[in-house]
Amino acid sequence: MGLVDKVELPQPIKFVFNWGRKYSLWVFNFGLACCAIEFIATSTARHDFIRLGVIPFAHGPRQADLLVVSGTLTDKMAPAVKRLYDEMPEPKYVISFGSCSNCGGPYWDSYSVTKGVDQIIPVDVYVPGCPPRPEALLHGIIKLQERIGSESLKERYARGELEPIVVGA
Amino acid sequence: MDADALRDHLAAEFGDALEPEVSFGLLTVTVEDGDYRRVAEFVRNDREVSCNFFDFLCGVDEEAAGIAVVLHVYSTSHHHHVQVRSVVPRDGGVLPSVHDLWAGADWHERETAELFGVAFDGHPHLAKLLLPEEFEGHPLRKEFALLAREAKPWPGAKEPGE
Amino acid sequence: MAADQQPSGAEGGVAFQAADGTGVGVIIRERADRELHTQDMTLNVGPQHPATHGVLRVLVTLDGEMIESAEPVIGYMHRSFEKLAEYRDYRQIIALVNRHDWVSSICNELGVAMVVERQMGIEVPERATWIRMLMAEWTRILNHLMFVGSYPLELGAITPMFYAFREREEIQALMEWVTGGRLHLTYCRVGGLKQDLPRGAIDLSRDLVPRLRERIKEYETLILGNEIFAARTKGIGVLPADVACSYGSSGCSLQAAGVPEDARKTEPYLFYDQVEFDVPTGRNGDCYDRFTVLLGRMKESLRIIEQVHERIPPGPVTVKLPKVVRPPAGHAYVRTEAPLGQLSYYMVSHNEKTPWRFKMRTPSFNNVSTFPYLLKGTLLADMIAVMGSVFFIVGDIDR
Repeated sequence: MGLVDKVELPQPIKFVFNWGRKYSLWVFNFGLACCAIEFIATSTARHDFIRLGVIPFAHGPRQADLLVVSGTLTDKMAPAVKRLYDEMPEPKYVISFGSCSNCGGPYWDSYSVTKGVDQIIPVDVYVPGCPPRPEALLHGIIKLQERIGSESLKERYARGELEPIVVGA
Repeated sequence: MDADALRDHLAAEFGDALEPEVSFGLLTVTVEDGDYRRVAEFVRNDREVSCNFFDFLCGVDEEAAGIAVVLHVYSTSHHHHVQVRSVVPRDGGVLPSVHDLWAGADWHERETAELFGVAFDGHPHLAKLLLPEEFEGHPLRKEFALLAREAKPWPGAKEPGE
Repeated sequence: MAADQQPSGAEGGVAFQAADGTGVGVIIRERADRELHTQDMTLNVGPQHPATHGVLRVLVTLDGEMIESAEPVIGYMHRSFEKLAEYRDYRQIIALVNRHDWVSSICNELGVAMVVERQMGIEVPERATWIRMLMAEWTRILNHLMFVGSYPLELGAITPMFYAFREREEIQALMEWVTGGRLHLTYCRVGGLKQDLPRGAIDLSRDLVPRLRERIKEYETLILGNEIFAARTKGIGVLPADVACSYGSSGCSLQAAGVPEDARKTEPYLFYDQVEFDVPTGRNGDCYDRFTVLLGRMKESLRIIEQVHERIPPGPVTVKLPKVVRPPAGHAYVRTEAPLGQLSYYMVSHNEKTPWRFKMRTPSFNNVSTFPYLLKGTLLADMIAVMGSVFFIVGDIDR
């Protein structure tokens, strides 16, 4: 990425850079189960996350910045998630929406459910609930945007692992 | 026909080959696996019974007795239900497939085969349906333990029923 | 260009003729010996796909644009409800079970409560039964609105999606007022309901009915009256009645084929025999008919809701249950009409706190098993129209 991952940007440029990135997050629709319905409800008129700059219906993983995993992840589906996550270009963020993708949820004892999407891919924000209210997703997006706003790309590409944010904790 | 009349009609045709039982208005006939196919064909084709609507086919683990396979069909013209039940041994249990009588049995038999380990003779493609390819074991059998419950006791307040 | 092309001899070069007789030109002799090799293409649709709602994968074998065979690969949402139900008591099962058809929560729970009540011989109070009917019909409308929004979206029309979700938000406000939940309500209990209706719930419900009625009329003109929609769905994906019954297809697919089979009419449960409503049927069994039946079912649900408003008596909503619910040994079966089709529960009990076997016969499993029949011989461009018209929810298929 040129100089961005090698040089610590001066504050004004960093501010503008991050401001542009955080207010134009393209979401890759990864609706798996019931939480996908609440995700769609958040994108429609009443709650509307488009006004936060989060744009749904990215044309594919290669044009997306944000992956919102909403719904139960099963062992059969897990390789597909990993592959799609790997296809997304950096910098990419993951919101785990709903308790099934946080930790397995109500199916914690099932033989076919992966107990949480963080077993496969790194997660930035956890939004708990079954299903979480649309307002909780908006809260999660705002928290993610705050983090992106203060992010340093140099540290990110130096593989610094950040503590994930848990909404409502 | 109501369940009692159906029972009498089927008993008249098959006699001792089937053990009928009417419970909460539903007729269940238990047959040997040798008679299963004959009874299924009769239930489908006989004009008084004519069960053309396929409801489901499932397995029930009856522990020592074996695995019971329950076929449940319905008639849209006469508005009655019939359940045909047959118990197969736990190891190597085989039943004839009824997918040519009811097309819906195709997927139900595949599901029962992978979840219980019952084979269906004559089924075109008894591959795994719901489980991933690498999955080993037959999950709905009683001896298949849920590992998550074994590894860590349920942290909630009470176990079911306590 | 047709698939089989044979070079035919002529002096000089070789005239290259298509199978239907039209000459396409002359090719040089050296290449004339090679037959044009064509091969069927296997196209993988899903499991992550914007137009299949949820994680359904279809392996389609194509001959040009024509689908030769389509095989749905399911199981990407298999959460093993039936095994989990054997480890949960009857209240926990109700909470679990309203997640398989995740847009219609009460209709899933109803069947569970009914099958346990049937096996235990519990008489549910009248008030609870009428309220269950009210909530079930509103949930049916919620479910159908989802498909009113998503089916045109798959065909390319984005507007109905926003209209449908606007309606869903209003009905979900009613749901939240009554039960506290938006999507998964867990409102039914064995022997009645979790709690009584709060003050103002019936008035809210009464206000919603005429507004929904107006909006459904809008959908009819907007969607059914649209030329492109009609052209893309009429005559496509025809499912005849006998094939539908043989597959066990139910709900809109069966009714569109002309079979008026609806559990609320043929084997009435709750108090459906005391209200008046019709079962809309189609004539051709194509995609257009299925969508028309969907809108018709919504209108009938509104009729039922209006009648239920007048009939709810005062009284208790629960019965006194023992501390631990233990149905006597035996088996019971209950058949309900979920929004997507026939939902039946078959429960085997060994007189324990948890069921011995809990079979959920979900409508989408049988409906989606008709895909190989429906998709064979259709064009690729019609594939999404056909798949979407079979109104399924993936959680309902895989459980």
